[in-house]
Amino acid sequence: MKRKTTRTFFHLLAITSFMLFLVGFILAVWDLMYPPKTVAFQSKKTEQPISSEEGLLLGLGDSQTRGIGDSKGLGYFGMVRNQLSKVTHGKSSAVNLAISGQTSNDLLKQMKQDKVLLMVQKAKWISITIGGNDLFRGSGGLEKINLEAAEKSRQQYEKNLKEILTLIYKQNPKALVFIFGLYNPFGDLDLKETSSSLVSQWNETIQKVTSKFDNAIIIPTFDLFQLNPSKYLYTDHFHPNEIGYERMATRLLQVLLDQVAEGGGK
Amino acid sequence: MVSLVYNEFFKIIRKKRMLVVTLILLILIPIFTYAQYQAVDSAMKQLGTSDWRAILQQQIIDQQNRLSSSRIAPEWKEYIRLNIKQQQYYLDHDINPTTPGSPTFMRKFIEQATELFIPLLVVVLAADLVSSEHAGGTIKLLLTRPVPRWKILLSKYLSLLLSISLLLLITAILSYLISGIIFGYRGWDMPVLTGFQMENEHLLTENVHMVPQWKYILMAYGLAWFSAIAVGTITFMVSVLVRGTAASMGAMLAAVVAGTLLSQVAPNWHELKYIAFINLNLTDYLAGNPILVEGMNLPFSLTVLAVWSLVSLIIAFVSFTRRDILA
Repeated sequence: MKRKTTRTFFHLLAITSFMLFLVGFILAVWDLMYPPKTVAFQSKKTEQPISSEEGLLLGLGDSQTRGIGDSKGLGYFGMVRNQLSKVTHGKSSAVNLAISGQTSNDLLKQMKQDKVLLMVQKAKWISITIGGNDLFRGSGGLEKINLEAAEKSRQQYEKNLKEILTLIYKQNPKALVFIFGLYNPFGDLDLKETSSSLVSQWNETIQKVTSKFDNAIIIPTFDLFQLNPSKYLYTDHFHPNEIGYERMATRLLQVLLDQVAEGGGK
Repeated sequence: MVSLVYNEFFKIIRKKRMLVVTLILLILIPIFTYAQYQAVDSAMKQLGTSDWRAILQQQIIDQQNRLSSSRIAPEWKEYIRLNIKQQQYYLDHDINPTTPGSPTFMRKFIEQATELFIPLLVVVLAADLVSSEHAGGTIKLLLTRPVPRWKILLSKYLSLLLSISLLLLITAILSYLISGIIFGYRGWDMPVLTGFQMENEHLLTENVHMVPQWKYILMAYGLAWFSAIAVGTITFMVSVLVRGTAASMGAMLAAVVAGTLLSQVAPNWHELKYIAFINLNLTDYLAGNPILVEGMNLPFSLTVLAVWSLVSLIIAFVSFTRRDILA
């Protein structure tokens, strides 16, 4: 008798599930074939603070911040992030929004996205590498450096950089911005002098633009790669390698950790 | 007739097939739960933040970086590009696509399982439905009863439909109960986006709308149910035609697996879309996942599955009623 009731139960259960899935199937087909026109989209803006008491490190820019060339895929940004989270006992966070191959034009475009601006607002420190692609693409590559074209792209770069920094400080006047200077990856090739002078010119540009913003700090890299480029560059002879990134990370950390220590006292 | 179906249904249950299938689910769902948990956890650890906006933004950027690599095939690039658009849409509209909670897991699980996992279980259930009667010699007993042959086969088929429904219900209940241990049982009314459509490599968003998650789950299981029934029907025909359990099960398993593999290996071979096993992944249309094979959409897939099922049924009935039973 008991066995009979379990049987009936299973049988009814199976029939019910049959009906249930049939309804689901019809609903699905209906919904997909005749989607309701009411786009009831009221995006709820519930802004939550990022759960990091010590602050957010934001990475912007090109392949260097992305970490191309580091066999471990960290790049200077990854190394700094790890170190930072060690020092703050995991209370800091880091977001890397760099896209490899970006020029200052692209970065400016990226900066205009709402969510990127939101990140900028939340960030305590912002680290940027930008300009390498402008310089070495705009001047026609290293074989035949076109000084005129280089000058033109430098002016564009100056304008873009100014705009990027203005945009950042409009969103977040308190943020500390670290801008890496440019280095010359072709320092051991024939056209060394031309390329080096070009790079210094661009570095001066960065200096000039940055000097107008109190909280923007330049991290020079020219000297790091000056004497022995092949030792610190990746096999593509353009991006830093692991050791190169390590040296960049050391420099950034020197300034950054100082700030963390001070910030902790406040 | 009702009592015939009732009887056949209990043959399936009593054969312990259902129990085996339930056991498989009992083992696999915890593994999937843990895998999901690991994925969410490691994403959080890597970023040092639990803010999903940051995670989503990071994912978008990562994918953009993958796009710039030259070693990716064009089809994949398109796939990534569509994914980015969809994620950007979630971000722009402030919708968290991965809110943990066991209903979310249920949804993800069925989305993944429709293509291969559920069909395999259905094959296990249905492969020897008729052929086992031959093997056991019970077919003679069955056919000597004063009931027309087609009625016997129909009752077998209906009981198969019932057990497939029961199988999906068990899948739903188990994945809800088990994953809830880790993710919690809430999230039935979370809004889910659906209605993404693809047309000539463009993601159309004009029909996108929000559906509460419970309704989405009901719809996803409904679609999975339909493709499970299609597989079940084809397997049913095979079990009529082929005598041995091993042969029919092997043939069907191979067909299901091959179908899944083929669509991934050769997405440019357009004739593939007329094969039923390519069209099993109906939940992709609901989730708006990019479809690799060109020219496939929901009505098309439904038609292909329906035609295959009907033809299988006709073959099964004709062959079963005409054949001499020698065993």
